[in-house]
Amino acid sequence: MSLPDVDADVLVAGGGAAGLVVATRLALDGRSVAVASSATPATSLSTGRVLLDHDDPGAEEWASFFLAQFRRQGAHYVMSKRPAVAMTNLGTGMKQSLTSPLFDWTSKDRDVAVVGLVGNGDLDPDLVSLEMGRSRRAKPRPYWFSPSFSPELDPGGFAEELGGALMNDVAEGTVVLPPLPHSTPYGFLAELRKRSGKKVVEAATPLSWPGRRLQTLLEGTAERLGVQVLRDRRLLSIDVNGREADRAFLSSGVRTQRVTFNGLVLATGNVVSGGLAVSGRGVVDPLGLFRVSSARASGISSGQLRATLSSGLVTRRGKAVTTNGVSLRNVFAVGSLLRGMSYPLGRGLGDVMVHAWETAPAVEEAL
Amino acid sequence: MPMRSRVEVLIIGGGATGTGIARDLAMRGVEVVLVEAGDFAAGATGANHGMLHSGARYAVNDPMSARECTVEGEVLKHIARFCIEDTGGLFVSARDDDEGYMDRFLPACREAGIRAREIDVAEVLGTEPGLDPGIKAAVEVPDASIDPFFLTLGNVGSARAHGAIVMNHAPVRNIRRSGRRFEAMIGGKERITADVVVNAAGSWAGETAAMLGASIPMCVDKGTMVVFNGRLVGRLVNRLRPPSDGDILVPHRTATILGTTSSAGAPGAPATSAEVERLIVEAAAVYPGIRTARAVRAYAGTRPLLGGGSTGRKATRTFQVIDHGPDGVDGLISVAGGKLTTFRLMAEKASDAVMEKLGRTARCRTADEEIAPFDDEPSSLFDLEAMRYRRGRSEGVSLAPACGCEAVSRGELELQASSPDVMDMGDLMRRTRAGMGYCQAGLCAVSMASAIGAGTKELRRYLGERWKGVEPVLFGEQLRQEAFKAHLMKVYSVDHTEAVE
Repeated sequence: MSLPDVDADVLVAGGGAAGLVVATRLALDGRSVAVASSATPATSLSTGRVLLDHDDPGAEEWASFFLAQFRRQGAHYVMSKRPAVAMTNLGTGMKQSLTSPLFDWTSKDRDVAVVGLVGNGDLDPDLVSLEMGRSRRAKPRPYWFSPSFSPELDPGGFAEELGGALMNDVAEGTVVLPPLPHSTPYGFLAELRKRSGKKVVEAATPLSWPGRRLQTLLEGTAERLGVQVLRDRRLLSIDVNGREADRAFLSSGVRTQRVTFNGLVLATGNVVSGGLAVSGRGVVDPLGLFRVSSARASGISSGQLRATLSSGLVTRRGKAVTTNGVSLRNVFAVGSLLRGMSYPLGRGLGDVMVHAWETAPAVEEAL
Repeated sequence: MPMRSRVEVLIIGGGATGTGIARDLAMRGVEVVLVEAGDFAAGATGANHGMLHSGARYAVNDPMSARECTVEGEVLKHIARFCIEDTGGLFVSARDDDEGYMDRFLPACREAGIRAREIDVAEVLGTEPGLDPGIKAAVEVPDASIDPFFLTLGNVGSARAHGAIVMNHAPVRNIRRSGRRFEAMIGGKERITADVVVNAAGSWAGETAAMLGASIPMCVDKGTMVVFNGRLVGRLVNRLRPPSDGDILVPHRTATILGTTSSAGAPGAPATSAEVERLIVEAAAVYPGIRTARAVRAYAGTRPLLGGGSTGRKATRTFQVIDHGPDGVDGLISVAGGKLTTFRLMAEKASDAVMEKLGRTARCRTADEEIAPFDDEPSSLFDLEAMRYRRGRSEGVSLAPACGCEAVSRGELELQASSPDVMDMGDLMRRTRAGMGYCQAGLCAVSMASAIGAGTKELRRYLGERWKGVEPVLFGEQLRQEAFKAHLMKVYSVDHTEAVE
């Protein structure tokens, strides 16, 4: 069984932040682009934290384009020169440059209440208060609120009830809530702000919605520009002719799909996302086609885990190098598939997206 | 907890044996206090293979221990049903194993009273498809799978119900003779005087006896085990050969535990990747798929074996109750050697010796009454009060999942966290199994920290402790899992691979 053939200028293998950014920029320049996305990308599982290097003109370029795109989809992300602090559900802080209306709790805010919602175990206000006091010398005051409406099923009722409680019972000017379900509508926190007259923000936590929302915004941006996103597709094989790749096979369940292209961008992620495989104690390319090695890194005590996380595809001037040592003219690699780019050793989403943005012109040149 | 400053008996050590003695004596109406330096079952008991021996493993070389296991295994199946899964066991001989062993094995089992029966290899392969098709012979025995943590906690609950005071995180700082009695300083502030002291400190029994100037002929033997994700076998699978390394696969809860090794090693020494490799190579002779199975963790315990010549595999697995009266420490009784399977018998014999010292008479009842930690319903297989919460019988308890690997709810974490016994994340894990599954607390660690009100410091300490067991199995899927955990934990500024002392 097979799916209809696809022909595109560029095939991007991988539908996370790196793949979608490179695809978006290529589409912006009028190229036809197909993105093959296998499953939930790491971006979706992240806290959506974006840290940017403000001295990098590429970062400014990336931000000015994407922030406008996000706003068109209803999300008001802002780039701040001094990174704001997102509070995690355990009371640790994370710096980020790209702040959503939900994450703009800055270290200047001293007048903070942490409100736990009974039934939502993602934020324990007592614990956050304790940890913030210990690590950041902030003294957020803990509160508990027992909602009688579900934020997903009845956002109106929930907002009315919670907004009233925040206005009447909470003395502080800034309120931190647990991460709300990712299906909670945009504008919900703005609604709470309006009702309570307070600044209302959410805590960050892995495996909750912030990464999913960023992923949705990136997908929305790519699709608006005509990028064809092929979901539930695994990269099975790549046909290489001499120093060029011209065809790839994808699979979706038992069905296969042939894609022909002039350029290929690999954005399949690191060992966690499955872009790289583990064989015994070492990291390899799952296709057996490309050379993998590890970069120098620090930040994790375990040498073996450090080597695993810093492993990635070897590239020469951005082009992937095969196990035979040949760099393919029209095959590029972006994102955490690259050596040393993988969070937490790399700098995370910000670096990944800016690098992907800057790689697009090189891909066009090779077409 | 009210502290009686003067009691009849002070028990040192909260493993299966110590808590078994507390239960035994309390049931006989004796006033006892038990003190455990760390958490219950945190030593050799918790590092056990999770196996309830039929005795067959020792039938040929250690018949005395075999007979003890045979009788006690059956007793435990009656009194500790809540923590035993009666899987049954097999002994199989691999392609290259000596077939002659069978001729000694079956008669020895018969001699020890073990219900051992040779069965058709084809029949075994039908029920255990993962076994090597080349196995040459198979014997069925009544081995079973047991949860040592829940067994010990069951003892604690039963002992308390009978009036004993049982404390964890209560180390003995010093102990000395005071007239005809003993005076012990516990945890730096509590002073307890007792007529009789029972030393059930397991691998630390030598040091404990030494505090009173007594000595015990003991040898400490390290054994390493590997935990695999999922149940690879339905019954326990033993190797039909003289006891050696990597002989036994135990289907245990959500996992399969492969063990063991035997070497000299101090208590607390972690499992090594060399030991893991040796175990996998050995087990592959009967279960070839073990090479690609997902190893989740390795752990090591130290067996407090009886000394007196033999060491390691040659040392007997039987036990001894030592009255230190002849050494000049009258009133001190030590228990050494033995196996988890025979803990009740050890407790009975030690308690008999205590009763004699006290000049009291009352019969042991531990074999007659079920260890029923959960009062109002029949304690069926692994049925726990906590599971009743899971099913939502109690109001106001969150059934939201906290640990997906072991299906532990937030409500269950909160319930256990409210116990005064639970001081840290490890205590919570031993009572709920949260964090024991294949993600090794990657996803539930923060919920566990929340439940006990601990911050990043405790999170670091707990994950660092878990890491020691993960490091020797960093290959294949578990390596990916740990890479994922590094992503998650970095959000909390935690390096989970950093062993924190």
